Amino acid sequence: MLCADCNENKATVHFTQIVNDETETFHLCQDCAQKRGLKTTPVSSQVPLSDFLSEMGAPLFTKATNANTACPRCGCTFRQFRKTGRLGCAHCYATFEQEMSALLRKIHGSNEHVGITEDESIGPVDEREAQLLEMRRELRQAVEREEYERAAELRDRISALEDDRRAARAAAFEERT
Amino acid sequence: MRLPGDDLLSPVNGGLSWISGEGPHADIILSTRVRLARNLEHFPFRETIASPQQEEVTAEVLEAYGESAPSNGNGDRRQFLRLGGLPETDLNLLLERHLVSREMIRFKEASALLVGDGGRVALLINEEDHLRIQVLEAGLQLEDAWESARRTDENLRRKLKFAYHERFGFLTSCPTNTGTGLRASVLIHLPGLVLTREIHKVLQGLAQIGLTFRGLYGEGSDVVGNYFQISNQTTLGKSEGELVGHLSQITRQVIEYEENARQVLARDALDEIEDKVWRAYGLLRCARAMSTDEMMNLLSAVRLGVSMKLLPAMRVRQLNQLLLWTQVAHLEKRAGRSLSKRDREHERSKLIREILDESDNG
Repeated sequence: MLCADCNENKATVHFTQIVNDETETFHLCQDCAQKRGLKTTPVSSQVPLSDFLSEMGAPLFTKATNANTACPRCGCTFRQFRKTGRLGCAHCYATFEQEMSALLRKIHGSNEHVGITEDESIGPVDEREAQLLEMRRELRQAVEREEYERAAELRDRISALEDDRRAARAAAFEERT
Repeated sequence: MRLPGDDLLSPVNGGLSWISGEGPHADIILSTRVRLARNLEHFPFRETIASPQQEEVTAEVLEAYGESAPSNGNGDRRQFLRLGGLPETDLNLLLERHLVSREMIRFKEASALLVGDGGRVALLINEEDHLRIQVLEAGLQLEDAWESARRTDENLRRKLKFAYHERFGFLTSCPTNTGTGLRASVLIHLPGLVLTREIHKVLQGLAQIGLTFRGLYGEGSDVVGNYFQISNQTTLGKSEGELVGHLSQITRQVIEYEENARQVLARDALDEIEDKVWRAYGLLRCARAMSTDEMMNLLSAVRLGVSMKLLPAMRVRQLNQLLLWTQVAHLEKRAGRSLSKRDREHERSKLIREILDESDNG
């Protein structure tokens, strides 16, 4: 989440003020908080999520979406989401795309996913990789248990498999070039 | 002590591999956890889903897991539980093991748990999201845990279509999990930093670099016995590898800070530390009634002692057993009945002595 004042640094200071029964919450970075004359103490990480989100949701309305607009697939409104902090279905993300885009940016500092995609796949399961992973684990355990004979045997098998893998990769590389 | 065959609801092992204490830095890092939040595209999220649909979710996940990762027969025993019919003690037992969440217990009628891959991979079904893929490992093993989670996710994606958005990534019920759906965490024991009063600096530093900390039992739980759970705060905008790598790198740094703090303690106050450790051991060894809070504090001192090689006879495995098996639901399951506070404290002290006996003899 970015600081509401400078919109550059991460917001680490959160405070709520009540003036004439109106509640307002600010999310600021350390510097901007100090500029406003706030003393900063360690941040509690235990704010209930729904409170946090309903506060976050409050200023997020765009004119395009009314708070009572319902998701055509599940019937969830943005107002309901603000109250519970939970969306009704996957389609809600499309229904409230603009609001979600802004909200995700506030929460994560980004609204662009860069990780694994839905159809990214390693293809068929690679037996060798699975075996290597398992053998490295066994090796660690053998060392911890001081079973050195077993550890030596495992180490040899692992390095043989790794040699295999290197050779296979080199062959694949040559094939391509 | 004899270990009965592992079973998710056994008061002892329960298919948990991390309790063995066989992992890098296992004296400081109790366990590593990686979880991925996923939802099936064609079902509404938990807020609006109907119970027959939740049954379908369970059936689809079970089928997909069964087909995509056929059991290899050697030690990969699958265990499946519906939370609906389980007595409260069993539910709490699973909670104490971090195999289910409070959320699942609250909505237990629809929730189910599938554990495979020698107890390392758990599928939490109909949690806040339809599916949480969770991998638990002993010690600091973030990269391996991520690799297992990734593999499980990939295998499931051969059969299941997960809710996904071109720009936002994997879609979750709560927007704090959107994107990668990945939460990686380590459960870390930091008595040195607490004793040297450096801990607040470290925790504040974590908050500034996108990490967050909690107590032993997750969101909203208190910090007891100097155990902290450190995890990534955000799930969107960085790849899974970056998130895991960052946490791994910072965790190693925190371990270094902790080790430095211990060196300072050893240099400036060895007598006091030694006294504290042995007193804690003595109380655990001899007391005839022990509350959870007292035990957690004493256990922290003893863990520090084992780590600093002041208590040569004890193993990390025993520390983990002491921590987990003496929790309320574990004690009740062992006794086969619900226990009054007084009985519990008595049973707890008895079990502590049994576990410590083993280290004295071996």
